[in-house]
Amino acid sequence: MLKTKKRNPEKVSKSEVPGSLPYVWKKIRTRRLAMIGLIFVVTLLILSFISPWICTYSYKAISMKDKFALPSWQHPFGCDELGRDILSRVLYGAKYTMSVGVFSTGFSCLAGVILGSVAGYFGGFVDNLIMRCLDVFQSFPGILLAITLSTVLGPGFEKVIIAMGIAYMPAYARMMRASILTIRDSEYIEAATAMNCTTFQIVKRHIIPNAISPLIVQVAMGIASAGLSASSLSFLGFGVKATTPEWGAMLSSARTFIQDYPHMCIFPGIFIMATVLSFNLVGDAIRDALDPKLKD
Amino acid sequence: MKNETTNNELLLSVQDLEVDYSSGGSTVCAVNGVSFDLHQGESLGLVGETGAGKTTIAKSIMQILPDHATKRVAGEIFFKNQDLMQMKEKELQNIRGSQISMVFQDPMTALNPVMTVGEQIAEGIRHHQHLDKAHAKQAAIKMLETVGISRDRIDEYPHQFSGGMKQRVVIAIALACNPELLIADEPTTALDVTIQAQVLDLIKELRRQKGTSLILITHDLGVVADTCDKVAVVYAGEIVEIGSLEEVFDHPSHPYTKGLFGAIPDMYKDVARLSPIDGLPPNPTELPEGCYFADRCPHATEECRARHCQLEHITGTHYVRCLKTEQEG
Amino acid sequence: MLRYIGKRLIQMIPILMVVAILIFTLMYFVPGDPVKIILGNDATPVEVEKVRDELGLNDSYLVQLTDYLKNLVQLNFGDSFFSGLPVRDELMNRFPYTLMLTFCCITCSVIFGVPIGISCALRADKLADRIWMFITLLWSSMPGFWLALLLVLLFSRQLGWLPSIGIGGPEYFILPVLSNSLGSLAGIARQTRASMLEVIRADFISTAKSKGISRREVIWKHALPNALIPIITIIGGGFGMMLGGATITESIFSIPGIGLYMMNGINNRDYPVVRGCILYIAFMFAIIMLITDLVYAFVDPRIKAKYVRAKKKPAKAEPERSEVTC
Repeated sequence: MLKTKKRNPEKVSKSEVPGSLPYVWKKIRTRRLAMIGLIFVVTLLILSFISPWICTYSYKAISMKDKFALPSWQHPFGCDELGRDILSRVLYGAKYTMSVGVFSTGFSCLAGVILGSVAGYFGGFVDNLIMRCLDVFQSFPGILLAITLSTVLGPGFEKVIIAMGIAYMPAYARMMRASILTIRDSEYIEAATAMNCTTFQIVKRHIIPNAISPLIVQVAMGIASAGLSASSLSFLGFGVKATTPEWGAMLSSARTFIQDYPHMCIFPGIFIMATVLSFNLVGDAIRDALDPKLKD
Repeated sequence: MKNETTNNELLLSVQDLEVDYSSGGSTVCAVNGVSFDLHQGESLGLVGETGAGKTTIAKSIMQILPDHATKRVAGEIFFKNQDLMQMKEKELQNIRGSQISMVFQDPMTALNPVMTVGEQIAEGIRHHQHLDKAHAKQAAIKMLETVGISRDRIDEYPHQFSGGMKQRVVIAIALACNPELLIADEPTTALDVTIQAQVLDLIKELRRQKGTSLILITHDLGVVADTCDKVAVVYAGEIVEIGSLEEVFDHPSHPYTKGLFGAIPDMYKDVARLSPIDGLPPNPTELPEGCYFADRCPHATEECRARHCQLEHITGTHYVRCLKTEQEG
Repeated sequence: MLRYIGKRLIQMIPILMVVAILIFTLMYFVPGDPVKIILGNDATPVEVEKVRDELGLNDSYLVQLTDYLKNLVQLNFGDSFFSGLPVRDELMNRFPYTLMLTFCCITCSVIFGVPIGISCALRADKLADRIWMFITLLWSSMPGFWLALLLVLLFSRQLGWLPSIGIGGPEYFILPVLSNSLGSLAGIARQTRASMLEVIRADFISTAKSKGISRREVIWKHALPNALIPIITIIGGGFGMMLGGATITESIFSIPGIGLYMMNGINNRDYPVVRGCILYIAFMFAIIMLITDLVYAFVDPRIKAKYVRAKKKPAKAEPERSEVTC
């Protein structure tokens, strides 16, 4: 009478496991806007690297007869105060703005994760010490810290990255600490401990996978805001060297001529906006894919 | 004794209710053609597993299905001969809370955390009985005492109450305006066993005093036996067996109902082990063509898998949705 | 409650002290000599040495730091290297402009951001919602300084409707406020939508609906108060962001607030000014965070209970505030 019918466990393909990389990719692919953003960023980055070969004018070629040239067929975006082609500069400069965003976020994330995990995992005195330091760092707006650090470090591409990386690190550290604390106290960790898992195994199999998805979301959104802050820094004159065709720096010098030659202001700004928007769109899609709260 | 009540006026009649949700691009058929009647003063138990669509049936009657996820609602729900499905939102608001009200499953989340319990009870009273603030508060205090909570807790917030106390507050909110129909969605599931009994007794007592009709949603057959006159067994969004308490409990006819009874311990029989129902309910995004229970049914035949059958009358008020009874009948 | 506020204010002191030391140290290592900027390039080394001595720049790090801290305890921020005026007075004179600007920005963001967020949440995934979400994302992707430049170009240069720099009547504030608040408006709108969507799905919303009260009451009396906590967090963070953003806005629009003062201080290596500004902003920031936490308590009785309990048991009271990247 007792007839046990074994159900064939259906093969679950990898792209159906929520939170896995193929799953996130599958979700992003269904979002048209996110895909447009991704394609925009990738295309721009490629163009940026090959721009010395594809652009008619070099980004640094000065030609005084083209000074302030308005957009035309020869110079689609016009020329700046030294007669340099703005299109070439914008394309060449893309890699600066993007890589400052990506690398400074990477720096913040790495440093934040290490500090946050140490604080969360060890607790006690170490935790207290780290958290009080972060309190100090977070007791004034991040952009001001970035400005101050850039003043100390001086201008330069890698210095901007370090300054911004330090300035925005506390948020990552706090987030990491909070998720470590939540995970550490959860019942499945207790279960794992009860099954005699080693600390290393617990960290590797349980803590990291569970802490990582909020981190990815934060990084995805962080790149966009870091890019924005980086361009503000350059605009104020604290970022990369003034001769670098970074978009914020270009706007900074264009500002003087805004009344008569607004084209110098408009194009770099549009590119900042479009790039940050693209990062935001991709970040949004990643968040929606990873955040179970927003799903039905 | 219990059958007397059936002579009363028809209070609620649900006809061919169907509800689809949309979830991540696919359609979830939560309720698939549910029909039942409820007379004044009767109590009906809706029994079934988690995810069988019981809560959706309740929310459809209240007309508070979540807007963002609900894809399609069809069928008719007559309350005192008026179709709730065709009613305007304004008219529905006059019925909700005053004539039909609902007790939700989880008292921990069913109360607004930033409002005092007094305000939450008084809110419905003020709205339906058009009382001013002070009088509504008086009524709320009375209601609070009715469910056995002392009056000086009226200005406290939900987080200051224990689970069982919160469920009392939820019941107080539901019964504040003397509704004619109370829908209790698993009112005891989230509570301790001792508290469960208290809450059930409270509902029974209030029902006895006020003659409220009741739809009790539960997966606990014991609770049904204790509280209800009629039973409807819900599986995969449809009723597979419905009848009076005696009919269903004494002659369970659907294999699923039999399975449910097989899965509870019986004091008078000496069984070595309980027999659970194997397998899982069908995926509500892709329901099978034939009988939804066929995959788990020990008696399933090819015909079962091919054809979906209707509720068939057996005796009295007892109906069953199974090919076997259809053929025997 | 008062005791909680007192405790928080006392906790602020050591943090501000460490901030002061940190900023002092950073400024100590800033390359560039203020004296050369003061005297110009053609100053003789003897003159330079003399001024350096006068300003105390030749003392060792520790001596300078102790002097600085000693003054600080008496709420003396020192005198500007350039103007020779006390930094404290200058801060007091300039602060109203920054506060005014920040306050207008945040009010503007809240007044428009919250309703946009709510109406989007109520129409989640409908066309209007998608369009608004795209627009707000666009706004938050727009660099504030670029927007400021465009606004100046359009409204002052082309149309001539509004003044582009300086201060005066309220019309001088329109462009700065607009350019500085659009980003945080977008942030507030998006956060409001997200937390409303989360709350709308909560069980107590079903309870509220089942009482038969109107849709409007469900939204405003039940959903919004519960959605407020993350919104308040982002408003508090937005305030901080505005204080930082003020440096940029003030320098574009030449508003004589703290931000502009600080930018000039940095460019001139006027250390007392920079230190004073950052410390002052840090203080304001801490006050805003305290106010944010108090508003939490006002909105959510559960948090209030925590603070009141802290009165009896002063071990742990501080709620972990979620972070906003500024």
